[in-house]
Amino acid sequence: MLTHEEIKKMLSAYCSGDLSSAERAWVDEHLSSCPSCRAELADLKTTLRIIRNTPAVESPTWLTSRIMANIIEQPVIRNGWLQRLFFPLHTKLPLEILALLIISVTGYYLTQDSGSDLNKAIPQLQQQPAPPQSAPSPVKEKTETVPAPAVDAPKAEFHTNIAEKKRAGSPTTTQKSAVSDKTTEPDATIATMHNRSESGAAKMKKAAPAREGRALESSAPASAGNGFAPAPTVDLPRIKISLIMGLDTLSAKTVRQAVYRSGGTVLPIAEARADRQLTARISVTQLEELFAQLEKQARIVERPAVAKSVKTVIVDILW
Amino acid sequence: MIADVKKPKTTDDSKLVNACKRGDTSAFEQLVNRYQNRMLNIAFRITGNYDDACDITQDAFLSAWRKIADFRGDALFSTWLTSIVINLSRNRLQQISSNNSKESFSLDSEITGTEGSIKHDAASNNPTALELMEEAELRSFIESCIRTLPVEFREVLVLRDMQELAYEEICGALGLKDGTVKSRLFRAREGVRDCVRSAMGMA
Repeated sequence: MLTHEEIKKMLSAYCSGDLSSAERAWVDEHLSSCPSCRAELADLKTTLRIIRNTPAVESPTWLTSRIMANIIEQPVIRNGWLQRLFFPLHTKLPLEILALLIISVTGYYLTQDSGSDLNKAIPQLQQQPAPPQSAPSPVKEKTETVPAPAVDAPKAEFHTNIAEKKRAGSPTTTQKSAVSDKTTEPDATIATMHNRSESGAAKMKKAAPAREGRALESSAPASAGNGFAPAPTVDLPRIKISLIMGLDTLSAKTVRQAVYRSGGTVLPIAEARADRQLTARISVTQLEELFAQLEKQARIVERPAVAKSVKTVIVDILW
Repeated sequence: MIADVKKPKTTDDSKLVNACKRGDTSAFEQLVNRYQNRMLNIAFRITGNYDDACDITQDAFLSAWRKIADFRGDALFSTWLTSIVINLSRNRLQQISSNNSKESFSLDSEITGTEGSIKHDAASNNPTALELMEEAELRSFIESCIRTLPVEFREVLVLRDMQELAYEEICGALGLKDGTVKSRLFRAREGVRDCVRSAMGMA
């Protein structure tokens, strides 16, 4: 049997019908004999009735419109990946950055492409033969897939006094480096155009790819077997230095020594060209020193400028 | 009692909520129209201040809109919205009580008084003094007594006895177990009754 206090605590539940039937029976039984609990229950019922009949307040008429005005200013945050991309900025900033990046990269490559087209156009317009030496610089990977620019198809008889840069067979393992090589070509071409014959140029345009391919084939084994340091030239900028020597005394050895004195590394080259060309890898900071060394032996016809961001370059020295 | 306690179909709610997740403000406006009165009344009965209740209702809907994507539909939208209103109301009360901490002392004393039995025994079957009281007067007593309840008791009383929400929904909105909700509810009623009795005794 429940006590009076226990029953009293059940009255609140009793008056809202929250008791089990058994509990209800206990309470009913107790109530019949307990006026105090009957009074408590009566007051509870009155209280509950009043509470339940509490009038609701009405919303102010402006409430909906004010809520909606706030909402419309606030974009909903969604869970989709697109929304996460914008979170928590609530702006399109990330997408804009991405777009800018894509445009920049695309623009960069477009410029590069049009630059190489221009380069090709120049020798054609001027009907100038390309630099004479097509001997490839050493390549670790064959680059036959990269067509040699027309300017690379020189005629040997043309380069008497002029040191010519040649680019054929330059280590271009990627299309990208091939492109950058091409962009340097017009300068060399212009610098060396005085001894060119028009017919030679015409021939060379046709001959270039074939010569290039042959040269590469021959140079690859040579570079593998000659014990030179490997040529890590893949992504390095390539510049050319053209020399004129007064008494025809400039030898490969002299040039090689100049390179060594200025801290450069001589890279392997096809032997057929070794008496007229030398390819070296050198820190840009040592470039001036190299010029100085070379000027002791010859006059520099073409002195290339190098971008400040570049640290190391490949130098083709021709004479 | 005004009819704003009628529950709309939950399927409609979930459709509207899904539309809201797609950014449909007109769907949200329907939810606002459907629930703003209930939310205003809950906030008003908990905070006791109409202006505060309007602010809370606005903030609650704004908050719901911002977080609508997080609403997974495990509970009813109305339950979720109610929990937001409750939290905002608590925050508001905390602000008020920190502004003038004096008011809070009477709340606890009233309720602890109900633990021990305040006896206004009417030892007969005669109508009690409370029953004989004029309804309007009694109502004002009761409303002021409700305001003196500790907020966790008041919340349950408002949601159950005024807004007539199901226990399940109250549990969801308050994050409480069924037993806790009921014991708070029953003690809250007793507290109001005893408060009115003692107020009348003092009068």
